[in-house]
Amino acid sequence: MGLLTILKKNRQKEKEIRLLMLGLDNAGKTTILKRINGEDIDTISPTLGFNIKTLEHKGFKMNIWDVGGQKSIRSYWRNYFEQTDGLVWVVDSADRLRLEDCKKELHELLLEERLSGASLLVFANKQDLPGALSDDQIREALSLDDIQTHHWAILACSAKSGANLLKGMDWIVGDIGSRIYLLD
Amino acid sequence: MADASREFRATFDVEKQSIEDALVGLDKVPKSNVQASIDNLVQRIHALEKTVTEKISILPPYDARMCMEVQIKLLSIKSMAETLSQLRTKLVPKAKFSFKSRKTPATGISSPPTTPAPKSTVSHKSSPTIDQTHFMKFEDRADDYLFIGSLSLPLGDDGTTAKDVALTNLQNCTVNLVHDIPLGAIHIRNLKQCTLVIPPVSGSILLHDCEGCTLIGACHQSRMHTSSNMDIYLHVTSEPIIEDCTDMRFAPYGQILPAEQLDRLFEAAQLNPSNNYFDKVKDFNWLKQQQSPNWRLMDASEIKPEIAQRILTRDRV
Ligand SMILES: Nc1nc2c(ncn2[C@@H]2O[C@H](COP(=O)(O)OP(=O)(O)O)[C@@H](O)[C@H]2O)c(=O)[nH]1
Ligand SMILES: [Mg+2]
Repeated sequence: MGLLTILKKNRQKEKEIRLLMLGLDNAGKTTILKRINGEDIDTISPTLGFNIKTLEHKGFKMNIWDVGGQKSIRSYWRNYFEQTDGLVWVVDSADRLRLEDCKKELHELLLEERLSGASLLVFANKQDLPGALSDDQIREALSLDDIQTHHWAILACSAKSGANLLKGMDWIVGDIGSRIYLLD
Repeated sequence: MADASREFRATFDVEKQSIEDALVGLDKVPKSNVQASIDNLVQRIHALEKTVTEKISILPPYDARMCMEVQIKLLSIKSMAETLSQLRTKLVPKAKFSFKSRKTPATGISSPPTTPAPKSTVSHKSSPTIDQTHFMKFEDRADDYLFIGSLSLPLGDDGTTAKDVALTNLQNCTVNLVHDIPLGAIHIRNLKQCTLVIPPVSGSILLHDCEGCTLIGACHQSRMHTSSNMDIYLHVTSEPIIEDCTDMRFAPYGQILPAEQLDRLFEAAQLNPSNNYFDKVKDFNWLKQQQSPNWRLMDASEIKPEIAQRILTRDRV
């Protein structure tokens, strides 16, 4: 049994799940996290360091890591990959200018050996904006259908209105749960 | 809060030290007990990390210093775990060591939680269908006057939905984005010796690689990277950040338009006019309590309201 197996086993007892929220800066990661947690979202500053929230959802304890884009700590968060059960990739659906960057970063991330096995939820965020692309458009622009290595799903959402955030959490928790915990 | 975080650090340090000592002592543990000792240590590392995970949320959100310390400590836990892992491969027979179980078979299953996108067999979408109607841009210009009102709106666009703006590779230009068109996010990259006036926008200002510019702007978030020698007149409703920047000077946005008109623009952009954090700059490269050497506030004598005036009157017919 490897070290990771032991760590995982220990977490299994508590039905604990670790989610990593990633995406380009300004996508709305922190806003989503705070929104889910019922906090004020009006004066959120760009993330210095990172935020971690622990939430109970469907009988699971979710540790959600929101890692800011701060360059000086980018190398740090790779250390958490191997303990990540799920990835939440947040997209600013109105940011047409950086869709290519967004696609590139996502596909690079998915090559990470240490993330293999993690479920991937793509949040097509900021749907409240009239200029937002739909989930289907984002799915196409990010070539999600090319992904063969991870369970994935895309969901249109708005951190501002709260629409579909919990639905997304339901999916990822369900997917992880059926993968890790029911296999015993 | 300060007490809680201090107490947390103290507890943390003691436990970390004790784990480290136990690690060093592992080679003296009788072979038959090695497995149990390692398991025990792994549990303790896990417990410690868990405390960090729990505690970090009660720490002041922008207590950067603490955050960094926690991160460094997390890293040291990580390196401990790695040492442990290596030790384990050395000490314990390899037979039980298997990574296979970790890997989920690559299934590539897509299971959208909403109704799955209909896989149409009839129509065939050609390559990505991203329309270019929701952003406007100026790029690769020098010694020019650039007014957003001079850009034509895409066909069929009534100009009521917010547009993102890209300003890229401009040298010695004057940029005026104040017009009837509501703006979302402003993406600025590689501007040298330019002057920009940006109306209240409903998104963020994101800026990279600029030098010697004057920027006048109002937004929800301000994110500035790898830039230097900038005069920034800002209204921002959250703490602005700088990263890898030097010589950044900040001042309030100022009354660039008649009060009534400006109020309307603030309202349209959903910006609270009485909430300005222009002076609460956070420097990602400076985590000490003392003032960062990379930015400062402008003196009253340095503030020049006429810069905006000059640019704006030029386009008022
Ligand atoms: N309209 C709209 N704005 C959003 C939404 N989510 C986030 N934002 C805004 O986008 C900006 C960046 O959000 P933030 O959470 O800091 O992004 P992060 O860098 O990914 O953490 C902020 O000004 C948010 O208010 C959304 O669903 N709708
Ligand atoms: Mg953030």
